[in-house]
Amino acid sequence: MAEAVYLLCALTSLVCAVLLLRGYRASRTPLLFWSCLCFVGLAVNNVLLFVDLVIVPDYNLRVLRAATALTSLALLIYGLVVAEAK
Amino acid sequence: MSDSIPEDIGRLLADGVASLEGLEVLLLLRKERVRAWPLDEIARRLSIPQSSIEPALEEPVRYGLIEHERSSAGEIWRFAPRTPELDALVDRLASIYEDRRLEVMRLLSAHAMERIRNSAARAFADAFVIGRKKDG
Amino acid sequence: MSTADMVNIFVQGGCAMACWVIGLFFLRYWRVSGDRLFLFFLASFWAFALSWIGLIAFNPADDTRHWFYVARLVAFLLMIAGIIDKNRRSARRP
Repeated sequence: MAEAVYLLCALTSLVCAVLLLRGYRASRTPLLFWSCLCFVGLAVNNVLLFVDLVIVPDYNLRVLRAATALTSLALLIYGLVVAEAK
Repeated sequence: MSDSIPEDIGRLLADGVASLEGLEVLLLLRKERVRAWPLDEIARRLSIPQSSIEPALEEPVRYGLIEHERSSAGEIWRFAPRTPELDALVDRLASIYEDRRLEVMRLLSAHAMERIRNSAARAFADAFVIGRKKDG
Repeated sequence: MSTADMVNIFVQGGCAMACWVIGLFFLRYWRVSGDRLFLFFLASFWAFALSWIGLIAFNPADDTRHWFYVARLVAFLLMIAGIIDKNRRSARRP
């Protein structure tokens, strides 16, 4: 059950990232670039969650997971605060 | 104590003027309202490059403050408010600008920031439309 | 509590705060643009925040932890719903 959730989340994240990348190439708005990076990172985070669950729970992976999430969100915040538009 | 800039002036600045260059051009054309202005003349009088003036003229023309004519002699612009109410509004704007220049400039840059934020938001939301859609 | 645990909790707290802030930005975008998509996204990110806060606050044993990841599922479902809603609205507009 949880595995399906994480895969779905990873997939959704990836879809958002692709849409934002497409949007960025069309409009060149910096916000879209940083949002795209964020969603890529969130996808990675969810894949790590899946790996962590399917393989044996590994403590080290836990910190890596959280770190990817925090980094992705930080990138989005950067885009929202600093790099909003052209 | 002066109160804040009245709302109708604020709206005029946001929709009809849109930029500091627009304001300068509008007031210049208004000062000698009978004559027709070619672009290079405006640029020379204001010491602003021509490339900055053309986009600044779009909003005032669209709003009905400035007339744009294309003749065999070239393109000219003239101060020609569409209604007497607009004329009176620009008069008030001119006097406010003389007294409270800094406030007006601050208001204009606040509008500019809002417009940027709006365009970023729209670009973000439009990115999530799957498949090409024509712009509404 | 090991160092790794503490670092983990710290980072999760950071994520919760980040999601709170991101949600606030989307709130402003919704007010500025009126596009309902931002409402879905802000709810989604605030659901993320709740999932992280839940993990920190309750620190359940690994088996029961999965229930908090339901919040994550909700978050992504909200995002999907927002995208679908946006596309439906765009299709309707001529």
